[in-house]
Amino acid sequence: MTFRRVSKVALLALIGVLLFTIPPGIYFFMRYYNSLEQEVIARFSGKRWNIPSRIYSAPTVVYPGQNLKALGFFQRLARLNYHRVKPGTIQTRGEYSYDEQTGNLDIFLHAFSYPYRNFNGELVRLSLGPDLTIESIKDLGTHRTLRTTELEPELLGGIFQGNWKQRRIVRLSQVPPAFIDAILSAEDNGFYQHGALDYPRIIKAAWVDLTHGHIVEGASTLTQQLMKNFFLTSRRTFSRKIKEALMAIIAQRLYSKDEILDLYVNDIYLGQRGQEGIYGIWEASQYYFSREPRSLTIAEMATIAGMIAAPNYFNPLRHPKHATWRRNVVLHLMYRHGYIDKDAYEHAIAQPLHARETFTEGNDAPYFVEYIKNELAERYPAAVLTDQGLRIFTTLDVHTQNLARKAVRENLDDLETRYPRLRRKSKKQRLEECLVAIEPQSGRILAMVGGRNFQKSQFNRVTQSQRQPGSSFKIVTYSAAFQETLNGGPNQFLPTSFIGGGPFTWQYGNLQWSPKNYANEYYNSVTLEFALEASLNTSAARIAHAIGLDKVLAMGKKLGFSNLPDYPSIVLGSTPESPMAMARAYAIVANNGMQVTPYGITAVVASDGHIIEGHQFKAKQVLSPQLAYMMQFMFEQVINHGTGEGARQMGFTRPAGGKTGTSNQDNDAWFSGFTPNLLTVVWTGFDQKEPLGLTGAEASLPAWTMFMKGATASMPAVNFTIPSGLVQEKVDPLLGCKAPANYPGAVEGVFPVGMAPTKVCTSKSGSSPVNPVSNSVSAPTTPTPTVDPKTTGWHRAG
Amino acid sequence: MNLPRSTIAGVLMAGCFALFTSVPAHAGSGIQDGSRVIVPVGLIEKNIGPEGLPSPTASPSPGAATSAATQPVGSPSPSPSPDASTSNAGGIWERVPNGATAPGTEAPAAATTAQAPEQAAMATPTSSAVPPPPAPLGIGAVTPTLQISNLSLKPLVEQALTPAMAASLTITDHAREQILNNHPDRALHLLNDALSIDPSNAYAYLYLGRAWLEKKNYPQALTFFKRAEVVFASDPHWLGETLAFEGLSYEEWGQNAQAEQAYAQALQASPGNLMARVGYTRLGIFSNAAAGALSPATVDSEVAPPPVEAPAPPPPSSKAPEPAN
Repeated sequence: MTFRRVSKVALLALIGVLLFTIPPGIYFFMRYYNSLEQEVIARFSGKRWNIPSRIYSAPTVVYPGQNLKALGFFQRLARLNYHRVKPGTIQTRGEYSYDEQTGNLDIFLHAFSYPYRNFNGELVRLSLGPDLTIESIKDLGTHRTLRTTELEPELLGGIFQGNWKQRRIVRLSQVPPAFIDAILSAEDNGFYQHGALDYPRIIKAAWVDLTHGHIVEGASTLTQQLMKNFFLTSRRTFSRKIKEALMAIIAQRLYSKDEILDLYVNDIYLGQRGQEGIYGIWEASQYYFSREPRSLTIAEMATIAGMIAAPNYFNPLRHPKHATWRRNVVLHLMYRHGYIDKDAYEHAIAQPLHARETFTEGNDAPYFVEYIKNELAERYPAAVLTDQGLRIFTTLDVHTQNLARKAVRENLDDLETRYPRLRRKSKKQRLEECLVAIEPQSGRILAMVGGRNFQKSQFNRVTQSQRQPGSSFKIVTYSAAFQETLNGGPNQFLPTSFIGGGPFTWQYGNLQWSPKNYANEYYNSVTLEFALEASLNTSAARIAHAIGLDKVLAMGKKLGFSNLPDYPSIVLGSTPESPMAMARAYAIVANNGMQVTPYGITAVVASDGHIIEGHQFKAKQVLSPQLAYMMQFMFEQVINHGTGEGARQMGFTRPAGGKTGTSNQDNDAWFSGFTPNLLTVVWTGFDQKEPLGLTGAEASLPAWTMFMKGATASMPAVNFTIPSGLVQEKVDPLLGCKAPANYPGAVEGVFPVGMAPTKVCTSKSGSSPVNPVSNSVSAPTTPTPTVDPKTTGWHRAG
Repeated sequence: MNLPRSTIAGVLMAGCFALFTSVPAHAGSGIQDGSRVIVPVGLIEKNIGPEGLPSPTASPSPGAATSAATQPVGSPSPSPSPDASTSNAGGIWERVPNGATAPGTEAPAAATTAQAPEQAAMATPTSSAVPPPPAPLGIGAVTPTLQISNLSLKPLVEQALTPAMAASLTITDHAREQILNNHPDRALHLLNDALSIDPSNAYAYLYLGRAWLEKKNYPQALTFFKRAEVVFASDPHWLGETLAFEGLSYEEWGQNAQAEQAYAQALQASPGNLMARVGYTRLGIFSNAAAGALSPATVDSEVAPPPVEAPAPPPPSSKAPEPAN
């Protein structure tokens, strides 16, 4: 009785409990299910992935006459993941061989989509001389001789949120069926047969897991894997598994198998390249085999399919043995499931996989990349940059950039070794240096080092710092002076004209300004050439005074220095300017008077190949070619005989011009110099504006020279070209006559036609009593620290 | 009737082109009307008679045409065959700018072949084995040169002094193709590359100008043309080409005075430059029309030959072509 009553009560209680729990349970479950469904729908129908933008360097154009060593060519090949094979065995893109006997360098170039064209990759032969200079280039496919060929751009960095997940979307219809077969064989062969879950596999896996006491085997279908990647963590917990299964069921109910597979092939993680995660089969095909999925062999498809299980362990570049084993498993499964026949299987497993040295991008140009990002941020919303998979092509040359980094690093180390007083304990207060290199004729920024260490300081001194340029600002005064001459103004200044070199006071309103020469060296009278070579401040001030400050200011504006205050000391560079501004001004002179704005972005290309923006090569002739040449000539003299002579002593022999700059209290040391095809500005100093105690020649010129020697080594040596309307003559500047051969004390000068001396000096006039002060500015043979009215510094003895 | 300027320009250009390309093969027919050669509007129309000027009836020898056609740009042309020397630039008798030699009098007749007029125009004329026909007072002969900058630069590439120059010119040539295919942006991109390799590549500057002209940015086009002009100073053909494009830029920009001057300078440098000739003529018409010399109603009649006595338009500046004497 009692038992019956108890069971009755229990039954009633149970019914009660069930009545109170099941409906709410169902209700809550349905709500949960609905929320999952909304999540799945949102993900499937909305934007599925954020595709980071990629920033690329400039491509490397090669042509006969270039030295591959100077071009850093083999390092470039390595960075671009080209793989060296034995001569005659090149089979696929991304392989190269070098036969030292014949000098043949054969390269199967990667395919690459450039902003305005697609390059399918071709097998080229570079015939090299014994010193690795290219003698000829041939397309081995067509047997045509080529004048140029190029290596694709290098990846400099990405713009992304969180982790860098790089992928390129490929539609399922574009994926070869064999690739799908390989993936299904490796991961879920019954994908098209079972539902969202593969119950027999689940039971089998559960049995295996139970017998082992922990989870050893999974039974996830592709749909489940996709749900896990989309929404969940990779933690193996029961609750996550339930959620994954529910979501898979929802996806299966709402979407077709093909839609799910389409997402899957784009979503899977397939390894790592430095910071960058490789996602999707397109990206993996490109990275591991340098080809698009449709061009892969069955063996290669099987290799990538095999990687899905453990992308890093089965990485074919790093672990070819593991990858080969796994590939063969996949191939065997494909054969067993009837996707390939025996011949294809045997052929595929016979293919070798080679290990390759892989380069992980260390971001060699962090300041430049940041500069580019800032520029892009002004034009594009952040979400577009981080999500839309833009490809940003830039002007930076990685080899040149590496040379710049090396030059800055070594110069700073050297300065701190030679001058221990420059060492600082605090890393934030250490001696800094920056360098920017520009192609003057195009404005391309080839290298940018914004400081000593980007990790420690992201302050880009090239673009953000404002420092007194000192004498390097004399470009403005001398240009203004020659402009006067060419305009037929009252003051006719020529490189061989004389100007006072003694102390000078400029009365300006009620004020007086008395500039001083460096080291208090004064001369009575000097040629303009000598004044610039020796960087005489009082002479520059005299010139500016003679032509008028308004003309100097106007010239400053032409050279890009707007908002200059109208006080005399600007003549000597008292107004702070950025190294980029100095580079812009010097580039005008280097580019024959044509102003080309320095730029870093060549093109921005959307993920579908559409060009969103392309650099438009614009220019403005701000100085006449004649004026520009006169300045080139003057700056050449500075490097050949003046304060920039150290460059020659360090072995830089190309035609080049430049100017040192040292600010008040020696806070800033500059060197701005150029060849016809490369301009570089180097600044050295402390951020906290402490005195360096060094001139531009001592602190910045060594880095400039070191860099220029390397960076121009692969370029053709080009002379500055004298334009029509000018003549270059050797003259006796004092007597104003044309110097015959072997004339003592002759000076090279450049003159507008009609202004050059026509009278030839006699031998008597050559024995002029004028005593040149020095043959070399950096090491004067006759130092004249005080004013000596008898001393006339004019030039070198002939 | 008030015809659009472009229509008149088109008719003029087409007329000139037809003259220069079709005459030699059938010299004397087509453009000769009795004893007169009809030249495009604005150019001098002259009687061709047995006593004055030689009749341009001789057609060039095929050999001459071939050799000139294959001659690299800027290189001396081979001596034309004797009968070629009499073809006299397709039968067009033209004013010769003051001080300029009349290259056409010495040019190979290959320049007049219909088959390869463009290549022929690339060849720089040199002395001929047969002396040129005597030019009467004020009249000389010129070789009409079509737009040499439309032609392949391959001959220049072959002649380049350094591999870098050859590489730069090769890229410039690709840019030229892009311009002709109406892709100025692509051309700008390529020309940037060309200048990177060889900053002294004047051809790149010329094509930069052309690309910008295509984009109708005239100040920018002129900047590059003027830069090219500086470097081409010693190459009359290319200088003429550059100046002709300067003229075109000014003209399209609506600055007719400068355009006329640039065309005149182009003709001074390269008297046979067709574009400069047509442009100069065209502007002469319009400046005359603007001055009231020609009423708008008569403008279209300018397409037809002017009266024999019609004076040539006066040169606009001291640099304009002057009759040789």
